[in-house]
Amino acid sequence: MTANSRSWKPPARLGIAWIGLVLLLGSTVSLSFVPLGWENTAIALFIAFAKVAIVAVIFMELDKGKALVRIFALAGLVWLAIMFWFVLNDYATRSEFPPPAAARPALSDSSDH
Amino acid sequence: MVEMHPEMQFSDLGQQQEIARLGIWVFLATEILFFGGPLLLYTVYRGAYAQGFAAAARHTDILIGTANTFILLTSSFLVAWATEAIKKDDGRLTALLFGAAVFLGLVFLGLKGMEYSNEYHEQLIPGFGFAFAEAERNAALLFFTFYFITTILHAIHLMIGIVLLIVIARHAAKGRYGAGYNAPVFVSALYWHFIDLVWIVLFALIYLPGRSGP
Repeated sequence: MTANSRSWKPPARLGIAWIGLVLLLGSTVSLSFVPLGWENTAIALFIAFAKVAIVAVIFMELDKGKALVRIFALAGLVWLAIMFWFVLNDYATRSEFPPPAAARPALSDSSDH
Repeated sequence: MVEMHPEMQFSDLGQQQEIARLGIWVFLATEILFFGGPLLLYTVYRGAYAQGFAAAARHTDILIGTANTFILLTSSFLVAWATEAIKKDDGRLTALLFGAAVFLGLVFLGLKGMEYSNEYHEQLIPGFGFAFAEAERNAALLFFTFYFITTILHAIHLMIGIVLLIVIARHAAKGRYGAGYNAPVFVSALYWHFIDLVWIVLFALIYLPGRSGP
């Protein structure tokens, strides 16, 4: 490696990704101060996922290489989704399926201790 | 570049490199689940105590939080650039960029320390004289427990990442890696990016809720 063949310029796609990330950070912080109700949460999560996607696909090179690598990368997310799915199924439907009447006194008893 | 030979279980360096790539993703999948537990807890409790979580989140330092997000995003960019540099046989540039990322990581930790210290004085650390408006006290206790556990776990990961980058940067500067074989550079870079990903999600959950509230 000779000194004059060294490139001090970052690859353009990395530079563009970084600019995109910084712009997304700016917008998510500004938008969090605008009162929009539940949409504040939706925007914050959507922008977080967009940033995650940019880092994973471009910086972590999921756009290059073999499909097998992408499958391995997705596996973690799939397992995480299963965990969220099962647990939130329970919490989201508790009001629709209250515990049987016989179980209630026992539950309130134990909570007094 | 020093001549490299594949480990005995591989037929060539290309194959060794491919396996390293798969291996780090398997490790990162376990890390996703490791951080997934606290994230699930957060989701359930935030659903149950939406008001309290918003009130508690307003007490976090959005300025330091945003600055730290910017710092980590930039460090990830430098590390991604470093993995491109090694593909062009430029070990010195790789070492330099890793060094810059290490510096940014240390700045992040410094700012985080300042933030923890402020939170101690504001009595926001559970178990250390925690005090919060009575109506939202319990929810705030849950929020700040989540905040400290996840950010400390993240900081430990970052410290490991810093040590990793320093070690690999030293090897890279000596010309141990190049276009033919650079798995250690790529693998440590992926670990660093993962730390960035965790922070991106934590930032949205910790610093952003409740900003537009009273």
